[in-house]
Amino acid sequence: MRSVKDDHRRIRSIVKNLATDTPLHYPSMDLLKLLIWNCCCAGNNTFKRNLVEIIRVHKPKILTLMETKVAFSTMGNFFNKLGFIASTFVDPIGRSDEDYEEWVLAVVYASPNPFLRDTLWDDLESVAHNMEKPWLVAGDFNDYGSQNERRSFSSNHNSKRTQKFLDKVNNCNLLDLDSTGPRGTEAQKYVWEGAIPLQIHLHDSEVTTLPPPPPALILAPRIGYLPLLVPHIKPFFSSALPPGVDTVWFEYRGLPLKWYIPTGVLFDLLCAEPERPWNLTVHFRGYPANILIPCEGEDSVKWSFINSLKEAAYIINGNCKNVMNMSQSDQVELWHSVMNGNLEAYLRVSSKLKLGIGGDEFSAKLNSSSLKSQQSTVETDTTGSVNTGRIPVRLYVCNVHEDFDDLEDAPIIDSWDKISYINRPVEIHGEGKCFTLLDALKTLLPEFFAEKSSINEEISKAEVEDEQRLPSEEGSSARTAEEAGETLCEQVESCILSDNVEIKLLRIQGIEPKLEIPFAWLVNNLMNPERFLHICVYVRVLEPITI
Amino acid sequence: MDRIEPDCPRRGVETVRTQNKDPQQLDRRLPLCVPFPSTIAGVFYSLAVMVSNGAKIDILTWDGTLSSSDFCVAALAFTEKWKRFNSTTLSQWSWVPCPKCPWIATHEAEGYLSLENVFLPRSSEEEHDEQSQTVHDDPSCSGQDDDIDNTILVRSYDHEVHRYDFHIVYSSSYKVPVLYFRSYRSDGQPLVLDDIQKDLPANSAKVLMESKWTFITQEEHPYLNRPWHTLHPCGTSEWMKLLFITDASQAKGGVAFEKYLVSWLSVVGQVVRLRIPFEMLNDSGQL
Repeated sequence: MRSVKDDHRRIRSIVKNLATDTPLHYPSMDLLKLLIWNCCCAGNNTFKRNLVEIIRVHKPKILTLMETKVAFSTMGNFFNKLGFIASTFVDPIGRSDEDYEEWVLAVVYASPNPFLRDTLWDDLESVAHNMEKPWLVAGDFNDYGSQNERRSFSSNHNSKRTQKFLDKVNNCNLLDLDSTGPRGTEAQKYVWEGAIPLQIHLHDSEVTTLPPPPPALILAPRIGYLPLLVPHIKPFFSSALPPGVDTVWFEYRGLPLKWYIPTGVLFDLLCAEPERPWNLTVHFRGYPANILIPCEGEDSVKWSFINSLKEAAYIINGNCKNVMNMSQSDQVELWHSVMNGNLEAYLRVSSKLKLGIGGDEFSAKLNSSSLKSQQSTVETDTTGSVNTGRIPVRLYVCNVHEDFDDLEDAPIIDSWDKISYINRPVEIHGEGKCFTLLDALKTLLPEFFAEKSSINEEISKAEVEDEQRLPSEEGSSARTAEEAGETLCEQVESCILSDNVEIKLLRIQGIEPKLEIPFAWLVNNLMNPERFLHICVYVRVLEPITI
Repeated sequence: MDRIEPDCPRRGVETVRTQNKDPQQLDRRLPLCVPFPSTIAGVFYSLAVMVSNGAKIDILTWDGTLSSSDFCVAALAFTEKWKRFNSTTLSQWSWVPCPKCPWIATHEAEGYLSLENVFLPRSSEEEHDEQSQTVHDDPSCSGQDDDIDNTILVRSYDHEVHRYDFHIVYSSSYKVPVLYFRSYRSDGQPLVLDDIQKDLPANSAKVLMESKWTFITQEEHPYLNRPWHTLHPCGTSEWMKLLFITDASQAKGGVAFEKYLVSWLSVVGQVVRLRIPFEMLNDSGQL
């Protein structure tokens, strides 16, 4: 039994590596794209639009639709227009420059009825015994091979059924290729693998041994939180500590570090010039409860994370039901994926929360198009569809008084009072144009973009309008509020960064993106696992503006 | 309820000015929030919007939330009203203007509502009140007004009394008001949650035991950058909508935003034994 499993594993890894070595006589399947879709309500216009778009982007060679509930005759023309031969039989077409081998594709749509499913498997087994060519069986089996493949909330997990399915796949001499969940983008992988080398010193006042313990060196994940490191660093210092109860906190140049801010964000914010290794001081005594929220170890961090996730869900969907209704096991898995930096596991669980942020055609195009330079420029120009939505953003604004050319000379932040923390969602209202990081900054910090005179004008304008509206105020509250908001936005839209304000530094996940970058791309690729995009900004205000 | 006095904006601005003159309010407690002249302009601006809005809610499509400018409107109306019904007490709600970026002018009225130095009796003192609390929602039992007023009077007890500060802060994420509070012993030592738990009504203490991480927690005060206790706001919009739907059936028609905070505090206040006078609730129908 074990050897069969091992074989399967080995073959599976070979199949996965087909792109690089192709000595096997399997056709290079990664060159042939199949789209097999168990869709519902095919035939309506929304479906047709979506299908056209999917085909345009992914260019599959074979397309199979199931459960269409549409008579084939009515769809024939539609498929012909898409460039597919609307037929149930297609001659095998080989690649002309290569030897090709004939292979068989069987598309399965298994019945939800278990008895009919058994019949199907009996048929498949008999086909399998007579099959001499390589064949691929794909489709909707109404079964799953492992718990990880499930995406629904229903908790009736039946391991017997899973085993039965796997056995039948085995009987047919088939190999389960696994379903892989959504894969992270390249940028996401960098973010999740990102780590900051820390050199952690025990504070002098807590050293009771001679010589003092040497500093601990540790890699801290960007998306992680400082208290999660405590179990790893405690052994370095435990022998040197004075008696007492541990209340661990970290400090950088005298500033107690807020543990509920992700480590990467702390680093971006407090080290204008990145310091590697980052020298932190750890305290096991004397918790500064007037500055920091108390922390009871991993549990506190986990709940702070979940409460943030809830907040993000509320911002995106207008409620946090999906987070509240998460099963206990999903909750645990989600938290472990964050603790262990396991992006794939995270994406698998978090996709159930349905917290997708729309409006990112840019990265869809980046991923799909072959990045011929001409093509991509044309396509980025056409990212013009209307997108609206609220994006969870945490913004940290650090005001520097003195100018500096070199980041090394940036002032040291010795108090949290020097940082304005703005927790306000960004409303994407991209109409006809791509919503950029600059647009997001304008909505977050309108003050930076409005000039002295225009504020005055705006107020007087609003006052005039209000006077006009006074008599007919009945029942139109919502609309007037919206209009007021719109006039504000228009006014902001038209002006540039104020003369008095200079953005010295803008950093997200350790990089300094250009302001023209599409905001949706930033959010989808650089957000933290709790679904917030953390933006660190250093600004210099030349002189305070007074009205 | 849609009768908004024409002089309302002016009065609102005066409220702000008197606060600025009051050094005790701002200098001692809120070193971060130097009031800028611009904030007064900001408040004035939002008040102007308020008048044009008519500040009414269409209950059928409403989702229980407020915009930040609606919150300012509601907050100023609430302080006025509190003053009208609690003129005899020492504790007054006040609007604390507090720009997020104090070093640059803002045209949004940012700030929060504050009620400080409230003395709440320990729960053992209040056994008789526990019964009245269950019928608190019922406007018909207005015989206990005096009793409720007492809770915000400065009283001295034989044993220790705790001092509470309450802030109502607008959350842009949840689009609802959020209650933040902290408390001290008479010697100025801050109370930890375990001590506060003993001050809470039995119901709240029970919920706190059951859901340690999702009911009352310590969070960073959005304006003061310090840990405060807070009530989690994720269900607020839903129960506010429920509250107003039942109300609207009596009131026929729209509801004023001005009423929002009174209704909200009538629910949230119970959790921390902060009560509001019955006249305020009864009156809110015909503001």
